This record gives sequence, structure tokens and C-alpha cells, in this order.
Amino acid sequence: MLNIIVGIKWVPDTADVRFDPVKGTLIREGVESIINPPDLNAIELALGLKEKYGGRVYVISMAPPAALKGLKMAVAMGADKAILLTDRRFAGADTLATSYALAAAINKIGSYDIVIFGEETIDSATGHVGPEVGEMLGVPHVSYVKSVLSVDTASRTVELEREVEDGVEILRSSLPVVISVGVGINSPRYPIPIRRLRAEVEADKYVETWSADTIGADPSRIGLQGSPTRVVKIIAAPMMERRREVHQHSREALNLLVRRLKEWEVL
Amino acid sequence: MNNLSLRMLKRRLPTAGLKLTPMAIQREHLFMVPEWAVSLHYVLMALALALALFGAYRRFSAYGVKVADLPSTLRERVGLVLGSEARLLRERYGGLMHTLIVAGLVALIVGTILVGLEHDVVMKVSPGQRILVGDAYLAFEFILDLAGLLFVVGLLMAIVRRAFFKPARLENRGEDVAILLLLLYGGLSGFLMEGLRIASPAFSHQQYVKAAFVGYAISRAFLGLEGLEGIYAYLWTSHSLTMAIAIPLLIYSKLRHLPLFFMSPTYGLRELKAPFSLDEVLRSKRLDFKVGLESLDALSWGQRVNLDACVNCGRCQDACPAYRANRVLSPKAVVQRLRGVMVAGVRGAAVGSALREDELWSCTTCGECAITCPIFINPMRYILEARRHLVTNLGRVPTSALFNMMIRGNPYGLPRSERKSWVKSLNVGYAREGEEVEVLLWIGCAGAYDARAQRVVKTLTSMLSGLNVKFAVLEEEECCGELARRLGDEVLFQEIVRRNAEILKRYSFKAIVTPCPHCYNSFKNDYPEFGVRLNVKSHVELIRELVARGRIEVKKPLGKVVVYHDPCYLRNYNEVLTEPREALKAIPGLKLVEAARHFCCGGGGGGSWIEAEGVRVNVQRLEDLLEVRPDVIATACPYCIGMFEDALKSKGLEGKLEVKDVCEVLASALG
Repeated sequence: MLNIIVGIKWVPDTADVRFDPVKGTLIREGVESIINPPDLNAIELALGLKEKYGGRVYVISMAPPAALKGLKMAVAMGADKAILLTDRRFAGADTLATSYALAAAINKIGSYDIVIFGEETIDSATGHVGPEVGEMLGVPHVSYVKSVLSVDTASRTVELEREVEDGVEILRSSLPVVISVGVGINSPRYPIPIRRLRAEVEADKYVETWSADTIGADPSRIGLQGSPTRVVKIIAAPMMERRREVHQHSREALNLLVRRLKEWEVL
Repeated sequence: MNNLSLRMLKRRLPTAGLKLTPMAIQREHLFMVPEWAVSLHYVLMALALALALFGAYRRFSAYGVKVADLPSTLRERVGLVLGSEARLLRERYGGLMHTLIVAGLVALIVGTILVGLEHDVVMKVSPGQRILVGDAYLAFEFILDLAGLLFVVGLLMAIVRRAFFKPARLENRGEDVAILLLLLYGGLSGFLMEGLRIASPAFSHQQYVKAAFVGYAISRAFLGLEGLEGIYAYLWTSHSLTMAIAIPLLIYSKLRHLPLFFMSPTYGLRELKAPFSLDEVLRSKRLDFKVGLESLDALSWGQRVNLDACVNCGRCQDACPAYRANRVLSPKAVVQRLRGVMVAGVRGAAVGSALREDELWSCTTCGECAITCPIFINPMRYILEARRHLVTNLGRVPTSALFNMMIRGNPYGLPRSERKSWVKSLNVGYAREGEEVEVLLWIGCAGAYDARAQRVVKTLTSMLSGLNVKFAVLEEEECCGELARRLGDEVLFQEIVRRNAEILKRYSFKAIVTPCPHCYNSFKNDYPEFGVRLNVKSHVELIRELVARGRIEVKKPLGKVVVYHDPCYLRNYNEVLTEPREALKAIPGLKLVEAARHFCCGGGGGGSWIEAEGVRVNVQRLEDLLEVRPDVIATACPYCIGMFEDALKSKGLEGKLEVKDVCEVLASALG
């Protein structure tokens, strides 16, 4: 039996976010939000482990109430319980303050074996939160995990596959452990429609909302106050046009492809 | 009987020169039949009827038949009898064979009932009274002999077909063969007895019996033979036994399709009733409903009767594009296996015990099976209900299209901003509140995100602008939800309907027009159930109107051979057949040709989104169309176009042949 906690983020669909070059801000108006894509892989990994070893899957997120939609989607995928950390005092948090709040919430949940995060978010792409939460909980943490090879509940250890530049590392860690996973390590399942409806209709059964007080947070370590990072300015990077060429299948076309790949140092 | 009918009868009798004496001739009941045989006959009939009634009672209670619904079902079904025969006659030999057997059998049954009525009711109630007297009796004899002849010929045709040129879709099960032989024996023994009766010296009215022309012909072989009476009694008893077996077979064998045809409610292609109302669920917060074919217990009584009515004829299988492409699906097998599990009475049997998932995902929802079945069974409906269970209850779906629709409002999973910037490039006005337009153009997801379909929309909008049609598109358009419904996600579908209902309410338009038959069908046939009633038109209907009203003037000739491929959702679901053809025919010089028969392109019901094993449906359909040697394949659906262009590529025919939307063909002739 494993207690697994997955941290997710409800993010704007960045493909639709436009940059306002005059104001230097992002135009998020009318942009729908989605579950941060690698977080779906994190949920899938957790559900697969639950199916294999038994146990429970919790999903947590620190966000405004609009993120309930994402949490319900996670429940529909199969999570047993979702917890939304929502409080005005959490606003303006950077990764440190976020990690502090998440760690406090995880401690409040109490017993846990594996905590899983998506490697990074599509809207800020720091990759901080997984490792930071690990540090704050004082447990081992592994990033860029590709798969969980096995869990030994008797000796309380886990074997992990970790993607590195030149290959794959196989690591063994004690439990509990915090891991973060990249997008595409598995195929996230489709949220079961009837369960999505259930999570909507019987929200009380599946979703809990916690405030800063619920997790006993130190007010100086959450929100803007607990955040050493400041966004000073946003600059738009000029977009590179992607070029596309279509050639009929032929030897010349293949030669051209090989030449191009060599030019771009792919081969 | 009056003189008029007597004259008519004289004219129609095959043997000329008959002298008919009204009111003289009548049936000699139970002629040459000994007492013991008569008693045995009544016992056999009583047993047969008891067995049949017992079987009917057991079966009908197992179906859970709603007796109150039966009269309306019966009325509807009587109206479908001719349609049923017409469906059978699409295959000439098999259809004719069935028509002969049915026509013969029905006349024989009516005749037997009349004889029984006369002997056991009329003559008992008022001795000396008759129904069948004189020329009426002669007509009766003639008609019944003719009926018997048709019956026997039909049965022989069936036996010859099964023995020598059996279509691949048929199986020769013991039941199939035994029934044919039994019925044939019934017919032949009837004629033989008639011959013996007429040949008997004791038989009166010799001069009149030529009306019974078959029996009369046979009787010539027995003239002057002795001891016929002894044989006759046994022959008569065996004939009686044949009937005694055949009557319960109307319940216990595939012959049950005869009674069940008349008590099967019809499940049309268009109505796919919602298992729950999302609005109601959200309001009441109650989830006490079942979705889809979770187990066979979920079948309605009507669906059970339909399953049990199937005779395994396999016409649906021949019509199925997936079966033709060697995919795992056969609609006949789907119905037969469901029927098998149902009849075995396995309570709560999971659908998985009868149907495979890959089978369910092979269906293109073209509806050919349903519009082909002579009993008006809709095999596709069971597939769709099973999909509903698989997807809505279990979340099992072999494509990410639904997830894409859920998060990005289109099955392609492309960002909404891509649609927005492309629509902007069209230079078409957005619908505005309080400003009525003639046409609200619903672009559809293909039209908005697929490069080829975008070109169709571009052509269509340029054409409409050029004709000064006052139209607009929606800035906030997202998926219509059709794909969710056909793939079986009823929650997502209804969420999308709610969203679209909200949006469409804001604007005023005379008609909503779409170049996608899938959106078209969903708006027309799925949405009304949720209170969304729209004046929906396919773009080909609009174009046809504009041509008819002279707003589109086609002057430039187009000397090309064009084959029109019907999109299933226009043809099978909505009978939009003439409009696209008439629009094309308006082009001078264009030669419109037709493929031998309709088949689906393979794109519907999620087909465009699911990778399938086997020969590809689109390649086969392309080959059908190539047979009529067209220069252009015209159609009216973005998925059909995509399917054929893919098929052309895989056959190495890219660029050799054009695949165009009807509006593109017209635009090329506008100059």
C-alpha cells in the first residue's frame, strides 16, 4: 500500500497567451486554463503505482478557486482526493513560498510514500518546486524521473529510472521520496466522464479546500511576503519562424535530409 | 358472389371453357380422412399452439415487453412491410425468393384459417351454412394453389441457393436447412394430397376442380389407382404434423422474425437518446442513472425484441465498410453475439463477454447496416450504446481527440488562437448581438484547423461574399460535440451542447449553415433533445438554393467527369441526396456519374481519429469511385475529402485526380 501525493498546477494554455509588446505584459484575458502538461504524466504515474501496489492518490494544488476544475479533472482520472490550498495570503508566491506551502500541506496529510511533481510548468518553467519540496520535507528527491521500476514496501525502498544527457541512471532511494517527471514519460489516461460529473456533483466527497491556517503556515513564509523573487520586467523573445519543406520520397530527398541534419549537427 | 366476380374469375382461370355453376360446388371437408386422423390432428394442433403460446409467453416476459407500447409498434410495423420487402429486393434473387415464400405462406395461412373457420365455427353454429361456396370456392382453390406454387418455388430457390451459390455472408446452420426442408415438405405434401383427393373416384365435382390447377395436374398421375385412401390418411397426418412443428417454430426458431417484425420498435439513425440530462443532474445533484450498455440488463425491451428478430441474413455485414476492409467488425456478428448472450439468460452479463473493444472502435457509424436490415434492426445502435459504457463509465477511448476537445475545444488539440488568426485572414464579419444575418456560417473544427478543409471554407466564404449573402461567423465557435457523442462521451457532449446553446442564443440568424455534415447532423438531430432548435442547412443545400434562385449563375462550362460521393451524414442520416447533384448539374458540360453503390469513406464515428488494422476503408471506397473513371471526386464533407486525399496518396495517385467539395467545383465554374 502506497500513499502517493501529486502536486499539480492549473496554468493558462500558454499556446494562446499573447505578449503585449507595448505594456510588456502577458495577455491572459480569454485564455482557458489547463492542467500543466507534465503534471498529467505525474498523475498517470501515481495512478499506475496505485494500481500495482495499492494505496491512495492525493492531488494538491496551491491556486485560486478556479483551479478546482483541474483538481476535479485529476479526480476524474482516478485520484482519491484532491486538496486545494487557497487563501488570499498565498497570492504572489514564488517557487520558494509555493514549496513551503505545499510541504506544509503534505505534512498535514501526514503519511506519504511518494510525492510526484511535473518537472516544470509551462507558464514559468523553473523546475524548482519538486526539489524544494523535497528539501523542506527533509526527504530524498530525484528529478527527471522516467519511470518507477519497483517499490519494495517491506524494505521501504524504490528503484527509479532517471533520464540524463547520455543515457539512463538507475537509482535506489529510501521512502518517502519526492520525484519530478517530464512530459511524455507515459500516456495520461482520459478523465472518466462519469467520474468528472461525480466530482462536480459530489465535490465535498472528493475535494477539500485548505487555507493558510489549516496547514499552520508561518505567515512570513507564504505569498508575496515569503517570496524573495521579484518579476522586474518581461521581455518578448522574437519568434523564430519554423521552416517546412515537403519533398517527394526519393534518394535526393533523403540525401538532402541527411545533409541538413548534419548541418544542424543533429547527426 | 356476384356475376361480375364470376366473369373476372372466368377470365383469369388458366384452363379455358370451364362451366361454372354458382352456389353448387363447395369444399368436402375432411374428405378421405379417417376419424383417428382427425382426432390426432386436433391433439397435435392443440399441443402446437400450447407450445407456441408457452414459448411466446416465456420469451415476451424475458424481453419485458411493454404491452401498452405494442399497438403503436404494430401500426408502425404494418406500414413498414412493403419497405421491408423493398430492402430485400435490393438483392434480386434473394429478395424474390423471400417475397414468393412470404406471399405464398401468408395466403396459405389465411386459406387454412378460412377452412377452419368454415368447418369448426360456421358449420357448427349454423349447420348447412358455408363461407366458401360456388365461384368463391373455386377462386379460393385457384388462389391457394397459386400460393402453394409460389411457396414451393420460393423454397426451392432458397434451397438451390444455399446448396449451390450461397452468398459468403450466409451460414448453413442445421436450423436454416431444417426449416427449409420442413416447409418444403409441407407444401409438397399439400399438393400431393390434393392430387390424391381429385384422383379419387369418390370425389364429386370432378369437372370443376381444374381451378386447383396444381392439384389437378398431379391427380392425372393417380387416376385409376387403387388403395389411395390408405396412403392418404398417413399423408394427411404427416402434413398435420408438419404444421404442428412449424407453428411453435414461429417462436423457437429464426422464423420468429415473422411475429417479432411486428412487435419491434424501430430505432432510427437520427435519435440517439441521452441517458441523462446534464442540466438535471447538476440541478438535482443526483447520479441515479445508468449510461450505455454496461451489461445486457441495460437493454430496453424493444432492443431485446430487435436482437431476437435477427435471422442472421448478413445483409448488414455486406453493407458494412469496416467488414469489407477486413476489420474485426461485423454488424451481423454483433447482433448475433448479443442475442446469444441474451438468450442464454446470463443476468448482468458484461458487454465485454459479447463484444470486443476493437470491434466497437471499427464502426464508422455510417448507418448502412441499419438502413439495409430488412427487419429494420439498427446494429449500430448497440455499438454506440456499448461505446457509451466504455467511454462515459470507464474512460476507455483509443484517441486523444476527446481530451483535446475538452481542453482546447477542438479534436485536433490545436490552440484556439490558431483558429482566431486564421478566421481573421478570411476577412469575414463576426456575428454581433442585435444584428440579424441571413446566414450564420458554422465553420466546424475541420474547417478551422485542417489545411485542406480551410481551403473549402475560404472558397465558400468568397463565394457567399461575392453573391452578397449577408452572413457572419462566430468568434467564439468551438467543437459542436458530434465526435464526443459518436465516440460515447455523453458528459462532454452535453457540456458542449450547453456551451453552444448559450452562444447561439445571443445572435439572430435566419439559418445556420455548415460545410461539415457532422456538425449539420448534430445540430439537426442531436441538439433538439436539449431544447436547441435551429434552422440548420448544409452548405450544399444553401448552394442549391442559390443556384435555383439564380443568385449563382454558372456560365463557364466544365468539361469534366465528376463522381459525387455522398457523405453518410447527409445521405443516410438526412437524405440530402438531390441538392448536391442538382448544384453540380447546373454546370454546363459537366458529366455527373454515380458509383455502383454507396459506401462510407471511413472517416465517421471517430474513424478519422482512430488508427485501424486491415485494408483501409478509404482506399476501398476510392477504388469504388475510380471504377466510373472520374476526373473529379466531388463530395461535401471535410472528412471525406481528407480520407480520399490520403487514399490517393497511398495509391500513388496524388495529383492524378482531384478531390473537391461541391462548392469548389461550382467556384471553378464561376470563373
